[in-house]
Amino acid sequence: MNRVVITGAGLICCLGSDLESFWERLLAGESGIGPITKFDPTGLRNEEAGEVVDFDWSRYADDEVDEATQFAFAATADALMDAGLTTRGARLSAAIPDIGLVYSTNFGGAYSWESFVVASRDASTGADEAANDFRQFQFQSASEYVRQELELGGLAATLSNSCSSGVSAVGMAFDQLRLGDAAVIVAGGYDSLGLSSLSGLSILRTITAEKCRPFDKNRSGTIFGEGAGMVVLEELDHAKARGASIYAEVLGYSLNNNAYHLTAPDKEGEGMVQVIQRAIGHAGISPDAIDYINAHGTGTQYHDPAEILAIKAVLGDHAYKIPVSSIKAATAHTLGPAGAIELIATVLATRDDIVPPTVNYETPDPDCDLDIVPNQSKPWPVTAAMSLSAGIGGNNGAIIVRSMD
Amino acid sequence: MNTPIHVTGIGIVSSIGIGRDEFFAAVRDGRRRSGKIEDFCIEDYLETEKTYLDHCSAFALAACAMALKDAQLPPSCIHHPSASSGICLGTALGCLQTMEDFFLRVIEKGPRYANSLLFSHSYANSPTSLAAIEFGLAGYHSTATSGESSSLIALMQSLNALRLGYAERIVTGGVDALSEALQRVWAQIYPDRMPGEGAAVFVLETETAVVERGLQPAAFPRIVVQSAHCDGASPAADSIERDIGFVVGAMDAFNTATAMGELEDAASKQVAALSNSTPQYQILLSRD
Repeated sequence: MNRVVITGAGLICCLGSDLESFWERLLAGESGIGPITKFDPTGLRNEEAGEVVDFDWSRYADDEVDEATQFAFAATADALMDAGLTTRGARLSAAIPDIGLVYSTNFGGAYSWESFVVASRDASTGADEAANDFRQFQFQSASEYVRQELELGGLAATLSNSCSSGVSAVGMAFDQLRLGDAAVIVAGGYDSLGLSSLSGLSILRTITAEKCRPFDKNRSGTIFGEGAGMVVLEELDHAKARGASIYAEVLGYSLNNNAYHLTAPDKEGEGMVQVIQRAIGHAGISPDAIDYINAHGTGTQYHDPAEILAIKAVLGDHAYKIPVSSIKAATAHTLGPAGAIELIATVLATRDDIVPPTVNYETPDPDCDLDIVPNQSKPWPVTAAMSLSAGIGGNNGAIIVRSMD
Repeated sequence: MNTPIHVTGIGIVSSIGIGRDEFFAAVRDGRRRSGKIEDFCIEDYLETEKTYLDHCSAFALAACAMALKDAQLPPSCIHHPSASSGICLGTALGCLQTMEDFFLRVIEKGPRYANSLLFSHSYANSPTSLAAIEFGLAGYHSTATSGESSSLIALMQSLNALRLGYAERIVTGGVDALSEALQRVWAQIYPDRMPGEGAAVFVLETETAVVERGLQPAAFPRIVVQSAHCDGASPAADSIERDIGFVVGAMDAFNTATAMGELEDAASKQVAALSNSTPQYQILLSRD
């Protein structure tokens, strides 16, 4: 089977709209969370979120498309540029016409959906206007737009696996490449904040009324955000043949479901245990070979200790010897792209041998007694690392990468 | 990686027939009916009452229940500690009715009075996740939301997962339901098509899993080859352009099958089905 490597990355989130400024701020222990300005947040449990604030769509295109599609397009274009597969302002090289896309999203074009619901029930709204809103909302609309604009001829797929979406998209692309069905695929996730989604997450009390504090004893929930994270996955020989710079190799991944409850976490973390075990098994490495874990770490009361329990169940004593951090208090929980953005942070940790911190940490919790890298980044040799994700519906995902020699 | 994959169970909810035999009989008879499904009652398929289900989730649960029953899978196989049974479903629009009902309440009453039950059932992955919970499918898990290609993308994911050893069996297929929102824009979005809804689900198993259950693999259709193809047509492309996409994709599938040696003795095999419902993905089924 083919080996698969990451040769490019692009992201947009509240911490930054380019890879290096994101990484710099993340390592500095900054948080991008701030007041919600896109809509009136009155009535939500928290009026702060991880809004994208420094994004300029006109740098990429001038089409009137949903903001979520803009995020997806921009992160894809940046990832392809980072991989040396295109340059700003130019179309993709025809030398690789079959580049594929595997996207993931929770809410598709969220703004367009909300606009559609309101406008299409108003008799004064034209049929074409309502139909345009609906098309912009549809889950596959971003991949179709990007595929056409960048003239990509490969597979175009969209997945929706709640907050493990990003890992699932990268995993599906990884399988296509391993099996030789493609040579290059851009994979990742995107989502934009909307009143609808935040109202639901607020009423579920997933959102904290305070600060997001992953693994802290006084944690009380998460803060949501928006953006996109995309990686260029490439078959190793293909990457070598064109002299591409390689960030890391993807060794394996796993997806599963707790098969327990739609919204309640499995406090024993059994599903997370299985997904970690399987990812390690598929990667063909020993649990002791993992040097760093980028945890899902939402800051919710029950999920954080369940995740720690699962890590300890699989890694045993080794879990106490490695850093396990969450970047959600810095980036906010970005929903569909969360897994992809966290994978990018994990890959950069293998590149630079430094681990991003868990910010807002104050009070240790005996149930989360691993080295969670409190508040300050940590220089640490990282060869192999794992990123974990989980989401509504009981979805779990784990993916393992290793730096290249 | 070259493990043969068999179709061991089928479950269908459609406007012309619910259940495998009724559906095939309706197809044979050329039955036509409005795309809206009538006379469907989820209680006929589940053992416990549900507080709430979007139609999309209800169709998915019913089709999965029928497929698992058709596959004669005992609970011990599905609930195996190794979590070797998974589920991948595709849906173009997910639980659209619930999405709209939820947001209308937010508009009317504000976020403080949002309905948490509706929200948790509004995700695109809700049908897949509910089926995993209902039937104990704790293994490989995914939901494809790739427009009209969704169910075939889910099938592709499932086949890859089985071939790569991620699972022994995967319940896979597609589901969608009509909704008030969709009906308001149907004529603009799908100008040449009749509105429809339903679910079609397969149980796919590796040959090893079939044999371990004491069954004869030859009794079940085998997936021969898949081919992903993209014709570059825009979503708004006219039907002629899309039809060209179907043909090119079908040729891709046949050519790939021939190159892989799967169709060397094509004359002795019956190609049971070539699914080409979208221009982006084709699949061949064969019975030896």
